[in-house]
Amino acid sequence: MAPKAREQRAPIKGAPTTSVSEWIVALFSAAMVIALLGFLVYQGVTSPRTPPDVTIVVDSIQKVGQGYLVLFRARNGGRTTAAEVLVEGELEADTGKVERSETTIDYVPARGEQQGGLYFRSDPQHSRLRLKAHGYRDP
Amino acid sequence: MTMEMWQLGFHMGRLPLALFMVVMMPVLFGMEYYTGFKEATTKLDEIADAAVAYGVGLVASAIVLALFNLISLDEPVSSVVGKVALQAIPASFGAMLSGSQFGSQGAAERRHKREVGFRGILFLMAVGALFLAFNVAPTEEMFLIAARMTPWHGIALAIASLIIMHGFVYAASFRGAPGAPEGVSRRALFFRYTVPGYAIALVVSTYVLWTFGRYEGHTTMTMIMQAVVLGFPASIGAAAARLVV
Repeated sequence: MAPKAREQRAPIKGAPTTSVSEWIVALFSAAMVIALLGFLVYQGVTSPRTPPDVTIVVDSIQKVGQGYLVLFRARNGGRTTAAEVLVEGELEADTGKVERSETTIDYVPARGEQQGGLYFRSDPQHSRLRLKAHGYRDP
Repeated sequence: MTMEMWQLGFHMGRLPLALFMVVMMPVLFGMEYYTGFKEATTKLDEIADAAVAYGVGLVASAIVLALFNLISLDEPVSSVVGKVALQAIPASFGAMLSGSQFGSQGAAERRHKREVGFRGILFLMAVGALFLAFNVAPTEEMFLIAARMTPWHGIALAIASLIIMHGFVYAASFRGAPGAPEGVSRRALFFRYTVPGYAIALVVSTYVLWTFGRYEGHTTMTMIMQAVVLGFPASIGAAAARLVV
């Protein structure tokens, strides 16, 4: 930035008295920042960190090109984010044959959820489907 | 150009991307309005200048992506369009900034064709915040850092952002200073410029994070923590905008 231009830079053109609009903006902003700090203090005081608690819920099952797709949702009930959550699905047919499928979810945010899908060759509706999270690591 | 920038180009929501492209129009126009050079231009000229910066950004983005072999004719159209559109946003910022830095020959006295009033300062702070937030928000680190922090870290970071911003605001208002207002105390400056600047940085951060889909599946707590983390660079961008522009 050319040093020459410096003197010309707009300084605060404050009328020495603060105008009404400036007051409104200042009050509104201060309220926002205080609300933010208040919320964080409240969270800090009332919510101790609990380890990730990931459960897998099946959303829907659909037929896709080569087989079936099970769409699921990984919900984290804990107050810590889980990284690299390994999700495995097992499909057990009446014959006892088991088909497995797995995927990794990068992050499941604290008390939040993420979606994913698993592919199977046989129809999950005609066999027993079990989905579970195997583990995670701290982010 | 980080990996996230072109990945987001094909997987981020189309509507948030379109909305961002629309938001950029008044932003570029406002930058032209407050920092442009030509004297005695009409509104139409300014709109044209902003449009040129946008156009240059789009073309430059397409060329660079093609040079890096990140777009090709084999991919679906929506993927190519998404990548070019997303990359065009920082590119048009760059086009507009270089236009206002090198656009005319010297002439410091013509540098600001308009008095930058209170509203103008707020606008420029928003632009500075947007520029920095946009460049940092796509990275995975933003979320990663937020996930590691406790609420107490968040509070400390928010206070640190305010202190650093205030340093910039103080420096900007008293340097050179024929126009430095008499009798404006540090405290008044803090409430008139620093706090609103930080609030703007937080709002801009939230908007950018939402645009990039960083809030999907999140709760209020993790959303706010991400906004505070991104608000740190954004607030420095907001404060610095007044020195740079």
